[in-house]
Parts: sequence; C-alpha cells; structure tokens
Amino acid sequence: MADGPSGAKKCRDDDVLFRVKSKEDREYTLSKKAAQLSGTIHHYSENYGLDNDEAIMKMEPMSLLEVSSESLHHIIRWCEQHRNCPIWEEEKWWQNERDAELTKWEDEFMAEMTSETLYNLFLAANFLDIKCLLDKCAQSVADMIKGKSVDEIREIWMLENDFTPEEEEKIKNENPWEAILRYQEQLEKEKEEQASQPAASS
Amino acid sequence: MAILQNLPAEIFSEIAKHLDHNSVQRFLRTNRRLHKFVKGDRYNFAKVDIDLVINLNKEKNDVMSISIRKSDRKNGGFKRSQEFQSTTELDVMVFRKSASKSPLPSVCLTSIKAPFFSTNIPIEINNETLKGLITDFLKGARDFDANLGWNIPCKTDLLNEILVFSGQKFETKILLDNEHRPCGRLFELKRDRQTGSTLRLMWTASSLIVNGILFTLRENFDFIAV
Repeated sequence: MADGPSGAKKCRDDDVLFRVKSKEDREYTLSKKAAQLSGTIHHYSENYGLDNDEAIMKMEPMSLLEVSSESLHHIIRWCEQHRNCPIWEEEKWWQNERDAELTKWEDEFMAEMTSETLYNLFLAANFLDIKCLLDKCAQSVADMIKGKSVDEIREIWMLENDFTPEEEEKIKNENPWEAILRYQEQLEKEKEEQASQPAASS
Repeated sequence: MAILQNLPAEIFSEIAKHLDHNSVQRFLRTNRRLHKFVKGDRYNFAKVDIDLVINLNKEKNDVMSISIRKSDRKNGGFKRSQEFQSTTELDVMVFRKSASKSPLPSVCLTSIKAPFFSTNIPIEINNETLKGLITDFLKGARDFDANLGWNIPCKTDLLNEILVFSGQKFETKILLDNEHRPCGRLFELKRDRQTGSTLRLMWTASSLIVNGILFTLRENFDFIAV
C-alpha cells in the first residue's frame, strides 16, 4: 500500500492514482489531475504511453531520484490542493483571481517550511517543473531576502562569506547605481515621514 | 549546510523576479559563487529602468541638478509628474541603466527632452560615484552590438564624417568635467529604421563611435582609465 500523505488520499475517489517513488525508495501516489501540474511527470506520461486510466493503473512507480521523501510529501500536498486550478500560462488567474481561501492555504503551507525545507522544496519543484510552486517558493525566498543586509542574508541562508576583505571592498564599489538608489530610498523614506507628520497632528 | 550556496542559475532567476534591484545586489554580494551571476550577467533586472538625469543651465554654464529616476515596467514605464522643471533653459543629460532584455548596452547615455515623464529627486553625487557611473556606461558601450545600435554619442568630427554618408539626425549633449562643469558636447545618433544602408553604415562606424566616446571622456575626465 502506498504511503502518500493524507492530503492526497481525500482526492482519490474521482481520479486514478499516479505512482511515484522518492530517492529513499519510498512510494507515494497522487491523483492524475494533481500529477499533471508537473511538467516532468507530464512528459514522462507521454513517453511511457500513460495516456489513459488503464495504463496509469498498471504503471510501475516513476522514480524521482532527485526528490527526497520529505519534499515529495510536500509536493503532493501542494499539487492535490491545486489540482483543479487552470494551467500556469493563464497568468491573469494566477495573479489576480485565486480565491482568498487558496491564497491563505498557500501562505500557511509556506509558513510551515524551515529555510532548509523550503530550499529543498524549491529544488524539487524545479526538477518536477511545477511552475506555480516554483513561483511561490521564489516569492517566499525573496521575502526572506528583501530589505536585509548582506550579513543578515548570509545568516538566514547559511551562506559562507568566502570573500577576502579586499574583494569585499571592491565589490561594494562595483555598482555605483546602488549608492544613488540607496540615497533615493532614504530620501523617499524621509519624504514619506514628513508627509505623514502633518496628517498625524491634524 | 550552506543553503543556497549551490543555487542553480534558473532558480536564482526565479527569485530575482520577485526582488528589487538593491536586494538582488545585496544577495549577490553574500558569497563568491552568487557573485558570479553579476559577472556573468546571468540574470535580468526585469522590473526597472534607472536614469541618472543631469540638468544643465546652458546660460550659466552650470549644473542645475542631478537626479535619478526609476521606471516600473509593470506599471507602464516612467511615471508622469508635474514636478519636473521647465526645460527651456536646461539641457538634460541622461545615463540610463536599462532593464530591457534587448542586446542594447545595459547602461547607455541618452537624452530625453520631454519633461513630462520624470519624477525628479535632487541628489548629491560625488566624483567617485560619477566616475563609477561613467565607467559603467563605457563598459556597456564597449559591449554594444552595433547592428542594433542607437543613442550612441560620439565626437563632433566623427559624427560629421558619418553624417556625410547617412544624413542622420542628431541632438547635442553637454559633457561634464570632474567638477560637474560642462566641458564638451556629445552628439546622439538616431537610428534610421527605414533604410538598410543606414544601418549598415552605422555598423561600420560603430567602433569609431565607441572610440570617440572614450577619447572624449579621456580628454575631459582625468580619472577615467579605459
């Protein structure tokens, strides 16, 4: 019996199950609709003649040698939750028309991730070519980088500072645009603060 | 475990789509491997163009103001603003760092006479910053693919030589010295999109144009060693 996460099981009544195997050789299943969110699985299906329910029911599990069990568990949860969503190319829907409940679910899903889990999930989403998840992971990583100093980013993402002090100084002066942008940001901030003061006093 | 240390390029590009320019820069400065993305120009600042605008008073032969502005491509380019001063007595020199995916140089000198789409914020720029901006511009000019070229400034004699053959229209610019004083004039070529012969001529002339820029800048900026 497959060990798929409970999130996947509740979707199984109306759809055949696609079998996948993590790099730890643990087997999972996910609904055909959910599996179609993955470009990699989609191509695999085409190449191995998995184009009808009967073929899928008889299939050997697809080995995902680059995806850990933990990541695969999360991937399946994501895909099952989004199994009825339109294709990624329908940008308007993905950008503006997702209902609040789904967006809330996505935020909660991402909030569960540690930086390491998120990174592995990101890699897995990239490998499986799941565009909606890839974008959400990118957004989450970006949110953890925005507004942070270089040192803070290193700390969050456990990045080693492998520059010599001389190199670091050189890099700092490499992009003069940043200096003026920083200055502009500072001015904008001051302007905003000034603008908010009279409103507060009145 | 050094998370993100071995970030694949395509993943980095996905992250960069959600970041502003400054955050990308800071992120890339965290370690050697990530910094290679800058060197290799592997990502694209897809969101904003950045202009450095130098307003000159031609009568007083002085710099009126130096400002920068950003455009947000998603929101229809540069924002219109009433704040921009009248340009009747000003010459405007603009360095643009473009977000475009086109093979144009990432930083080029351009001039925008129309006053309506700028949000100007006064800014003090010291010589070091100006030096950096110009060096950055020159780097872009050197990488320039002349087949698609336009907005390339050059020395007067070079331009005249080209104009004899091409009949190009041009506009003048004032070049600043390291004390921010106007010290020379640059000319802007406009690409003629209609005639193939003009394009061919521009292609032939491109190295001269770039050399012309370097020559002019060397003459006027003693700190430029290119």
